Amino acid sequence: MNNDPREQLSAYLDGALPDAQRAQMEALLQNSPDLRRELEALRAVSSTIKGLPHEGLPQGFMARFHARRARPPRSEWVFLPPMARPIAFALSCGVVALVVWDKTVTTPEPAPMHSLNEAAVATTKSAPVAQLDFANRISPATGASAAGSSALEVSGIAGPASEPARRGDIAPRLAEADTLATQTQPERKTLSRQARARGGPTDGLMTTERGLVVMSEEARSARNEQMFDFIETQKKKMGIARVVAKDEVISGLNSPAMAPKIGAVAPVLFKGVGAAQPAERELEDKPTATQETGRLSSDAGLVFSDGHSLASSWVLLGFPGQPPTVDFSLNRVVLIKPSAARILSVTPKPGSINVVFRTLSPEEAPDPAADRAAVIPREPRAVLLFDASPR
Amino acid sequence: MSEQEFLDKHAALVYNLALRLTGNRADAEDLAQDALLKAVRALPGFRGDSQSSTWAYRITVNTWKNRVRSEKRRLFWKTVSLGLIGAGDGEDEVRDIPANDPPLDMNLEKQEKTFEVQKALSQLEDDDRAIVVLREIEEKSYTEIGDMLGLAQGTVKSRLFRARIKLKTLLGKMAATP
Repeated sequence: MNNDPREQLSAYLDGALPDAQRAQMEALLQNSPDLRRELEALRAVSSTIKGLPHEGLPQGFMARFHARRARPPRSEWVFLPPMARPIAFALSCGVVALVVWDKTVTTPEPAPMHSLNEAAVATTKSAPVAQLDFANRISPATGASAAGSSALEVSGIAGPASEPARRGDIAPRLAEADTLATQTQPERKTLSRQARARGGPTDGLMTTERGLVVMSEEARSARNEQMFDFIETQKKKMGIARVVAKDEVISGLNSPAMAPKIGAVAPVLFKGVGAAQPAERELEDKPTATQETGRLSSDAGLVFSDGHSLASSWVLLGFPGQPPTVDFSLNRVVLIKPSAARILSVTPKPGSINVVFRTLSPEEAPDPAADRAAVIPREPRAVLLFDASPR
Repeated sequence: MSEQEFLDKHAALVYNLALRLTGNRADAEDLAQDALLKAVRALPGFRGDSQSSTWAYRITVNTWKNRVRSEKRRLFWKTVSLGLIGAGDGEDEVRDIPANDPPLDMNLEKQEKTFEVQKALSQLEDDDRAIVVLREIEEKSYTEIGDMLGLAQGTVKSRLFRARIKLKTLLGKMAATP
């Protein structure tokens, strides 16, 4: 109980004190003028609040009340229709389960390499140890040369009954793989032949005694050469002379100084069927040339159908001045490269323009037998040809 | 007790309590109608354990407290979204402030006095204001007030004392202001 006489004074004012405390308070009040002043102040506050007027109901209050009551009760919650509630409940459970799973189940760390090696060592005490990682690559850990390690790639582990490889029975295979890795090339060829004789894969893959499938060095080399040829072909098709390394800095690329020096190039317009045909060049058929219908070989030139591509290539190919303003809804533009090929003839035909060109190579002498022809269809748009090839 | 009897007997009491709690007529009418609606809907379940007036007051006070809480939340988020938290003088930025309605009485002097007293009431804590109104205006006992607000009798007594001291200070300041 709070013994502050002022707090008791408030209760005394309200007549809420028990008889004994009320008598005690009255005694205090008789002896303390300050306490009496405090009592009067509290009484004044109480009277002020009590003096607030009591108002009747505003006009129309009950009518508005009944109107409000007649309206359906306003709900602050949006309830789903009964049909959707199970779905919502299931979705909620799913979300909760996902969150709980995410918080409780952690993705196991991949087994460290050394643990697998340890298992292999434990079961193959007499055999050399090889490393097998999860990218299916085998390389010798001890007792094998770097050349030996690069000669082998495991393309898969196929057991005799396709049963999954277990740590216990992987060790003999590792030992066999290591044996292969330490073989000289003729020995590996012998092994490869033996594998083929056993009915193993014939596309350069060898199946060993233990069912380990490996790729021979010859097959790997052949595959690499195939890939190299493919890349070179693609580069040639795309007109790429040299592949620039990502971090290689080429100063002045696209600058006028880097561009070949070309004199003014007047466009030759080839219109549609039946249009007037320019005759700057003698028509010449090349029956032996390879014809590429529908597009000009990138060896000789490029066909453009939009201004942006034209503008960038115009500078790159070294054409002088600004690229022409072309209405690409009516025309296409063909740029004949200044150095990649030499145009031998341009022959307007009724439905096409035949361009016969000879690819130029700095290392090799021009070979007339390798001349090629490109057929550029005139439809649906006319061709505006800029020829910067050497004459 | 029928609905109509209940409304005839308590509608004005509920409205006046709402008026002192909210401090303006518009909010008071809205609060009173909400409280009366709840009371009328719950009337069939009213067992008569307490006086019907006390029951109606309790519903009114609870409805008002819920409104204040939700309004505070709304104002809080509104203030947070505007980045205004802490922009004041350190006092609580979120409080319900009575609208600038015309004063409640026609007599100008009395109007001004009523306005000032209502303004002072509005500056009390919510529970303190309810205690003062229920005690001074509705003349409820400490026990009834405790029942309505869910407070112990001793708490009602001490909070009423603190509220009176604060009101004395506030009204004194107002009287001193020209």
